[in-house]
Amino acid sequence: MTPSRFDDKPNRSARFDPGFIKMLVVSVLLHLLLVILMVSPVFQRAPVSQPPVYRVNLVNAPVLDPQAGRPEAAPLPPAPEPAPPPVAVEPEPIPEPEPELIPEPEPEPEAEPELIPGPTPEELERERLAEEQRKREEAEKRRLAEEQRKRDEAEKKRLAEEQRKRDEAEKKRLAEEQRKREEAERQRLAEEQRRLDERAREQRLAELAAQRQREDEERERQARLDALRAAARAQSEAPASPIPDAPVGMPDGRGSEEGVSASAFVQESIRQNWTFPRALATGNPEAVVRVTYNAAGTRISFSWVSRSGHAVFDESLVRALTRSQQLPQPLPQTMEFTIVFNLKEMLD
Amino acid sequence: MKKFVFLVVVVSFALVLTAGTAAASRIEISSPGQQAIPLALTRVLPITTAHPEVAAEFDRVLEYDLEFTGLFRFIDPASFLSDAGRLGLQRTDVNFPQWRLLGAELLIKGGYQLNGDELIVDMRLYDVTTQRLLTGRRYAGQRGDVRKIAHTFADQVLQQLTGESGPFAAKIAYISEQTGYKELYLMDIDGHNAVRLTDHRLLVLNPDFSPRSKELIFTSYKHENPDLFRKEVYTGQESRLSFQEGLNISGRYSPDGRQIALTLSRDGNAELYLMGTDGTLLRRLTNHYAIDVDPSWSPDGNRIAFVSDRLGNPNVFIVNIHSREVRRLTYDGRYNATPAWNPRSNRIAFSRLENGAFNIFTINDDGTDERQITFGAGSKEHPRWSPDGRFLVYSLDDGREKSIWKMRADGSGARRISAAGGQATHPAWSGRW
Repeated sequence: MTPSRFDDKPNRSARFDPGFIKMLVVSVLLHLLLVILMVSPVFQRAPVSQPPVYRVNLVNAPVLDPQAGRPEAAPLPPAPEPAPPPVAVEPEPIPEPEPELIPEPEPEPEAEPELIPGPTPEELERERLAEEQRKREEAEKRRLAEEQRKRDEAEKKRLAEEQRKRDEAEKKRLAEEQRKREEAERQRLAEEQRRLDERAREQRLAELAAQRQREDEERERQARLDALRAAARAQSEAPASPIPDAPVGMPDGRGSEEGVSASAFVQESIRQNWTFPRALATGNPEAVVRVTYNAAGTRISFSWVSRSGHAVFDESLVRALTRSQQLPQPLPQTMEFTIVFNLKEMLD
Repeated sequence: MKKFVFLVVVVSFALVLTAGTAAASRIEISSPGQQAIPLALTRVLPITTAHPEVAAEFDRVLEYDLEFTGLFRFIDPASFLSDAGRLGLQRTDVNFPQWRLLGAELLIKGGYQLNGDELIVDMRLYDVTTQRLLTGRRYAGQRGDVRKIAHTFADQVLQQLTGESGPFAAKIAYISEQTGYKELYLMDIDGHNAVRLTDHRLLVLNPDFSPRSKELIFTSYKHENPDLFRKEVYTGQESRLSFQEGLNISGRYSPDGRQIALTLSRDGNAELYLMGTDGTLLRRLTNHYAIDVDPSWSPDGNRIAFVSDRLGNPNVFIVNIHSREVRRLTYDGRYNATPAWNPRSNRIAFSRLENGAFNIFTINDDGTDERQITFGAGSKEHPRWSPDGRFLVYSLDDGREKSIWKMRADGSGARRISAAGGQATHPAWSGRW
């Protein structure tokens, strides 16, 4: 075989410039740098990002630097222990005041009429001393007897009269007394009745008040129940996660923290509080606001960067931000957001 | 060289680190979380004695109107809490947290009292979010005005929320054959209180309301020629406005109510003309051997959409009334008719014949964004806008019966409004009545 020039294998390394290796290193490093820059947030901070295709589960803790994963794939927090049923405390029955007994006025004892005993006549006798004497005495006796009789009679009459008068007075007094007593009794009874009525009314009022309070409590309880039911319904309507044991994070997360991106969380929280009917959309309104939330998730400042000029649209944003005064969960730190509101996605 | 590389790497890493700790961020929210406003519509409550039938009628009409707007999602009344049973005509009397709990953003409350025949209705619209009174109105009328009061308050709600009053306290004029002849009728926008206005006993067509007063123009064959008539609704006074030889048809008031556009065939061919409201002819707008009919004014009154078969099939064209320059609007379909220009926008509705049936379409006045908004069986024709441009009224011919329907501007929420029987067609929506 004759040697040809093709057999003359060139020594490759000999042909390169002396600085080639160095340049190769620089080139590789620069490519590496490019890759690093591509994945770094420097290029993520485009002025306006595309509408996200994911929805953030608001149950997961918002973090600054979420890891990769699915926001809705959170391991469900343990169900809160059902609160122990409140021990129904029987209210002590309030002792009813004993009705006061009003003592009956004792009837006054009736005064006994005093009886005056009548005097007894005296008889004098002398035998045989003198018929005259006797007669006289007899006459005297008769006279005396007669006198006595008359006196007795008068006395009796007087006494009877007196007695009658006394009786009459007594009767009158008694009648009067009786009348007064009856009057007093009647008054007492009337008073008693009035008091009883009063008490009954008070009792009725108290019963009514108690009933009203019971009804109010029942309504309140019902209201709380309704709210709980509504919340439960909302919860049950939430879509179940397809991968319940996936890591908690964001689809574009590259960080190390378990949770959802804080700005995605704020974005979704406010979006859910924003109501705007499509039928009211005219043109392409866009407004920009600047808000600051503290670490507790409370909005501490709000200002317009630019209004849309569409009064109804701007009004709807004020409502949305009012409803978003308090975020459902705290943030990792105080954060300021510039929020652009528009209807691009809706008007597509 | 190595130093440079090292520097670049260090700087870039520093950039990456600082970018991650920045607390201010920019968010874009490009669609609302909900499109229907959650509204709690409570029943009106008696201020003195209860008249359940009055209250129920009021509630029905108000809910019907508000539902038709499509702007609201009604909170289920079954979930209302105790505040729904309280009158709450003062802002301070309303328990807003209760309504917030139910997710309501708006709350309507009201009371009524009926003294003999005198009806007073007191209505309030509250913003639950900001706990403000948005609008409050006290209406006084007769027992028979209950429907009108409900329509008026529905208009007021829209006025407050959108800056433009609703079109519900209005009338719809239409043609019906209840008597055996086509005559002109008037009804409420929900089909109630229908009354016949004419007794021409031949053929009445194509009514249009004056934007300025309670009067109508229409075409009637009363004198055995299609003449244009004018009628005052309340006095019943009627006059012949245009009775040229041949056609005097499809009259339409200009937006300012000072002129009438109509089709006349006095010069041998159907052309568009402008006429004063006293019947004096102002000028001729078109000059073509084809038929030019069905004018409809633009909101600014400078242009008129109309139908012409000048290029073969009937299509919609637009003429500038000052320069008389004509431009073609529709290209698709072989039969496009009865254009109606939205009084508040650049959108034009028209009906198109396809596969043997008419359907309603809308299109921008520059010919872009054509959309079909009615579908399904039957022919839908004669679209006319409500004065606020949010709704349309039209006639449906299902082959057996012709009836009047209304729908939203995007074609949703269609519902029949004319009562059964009577072959109702050619509706027109009045201004505030």
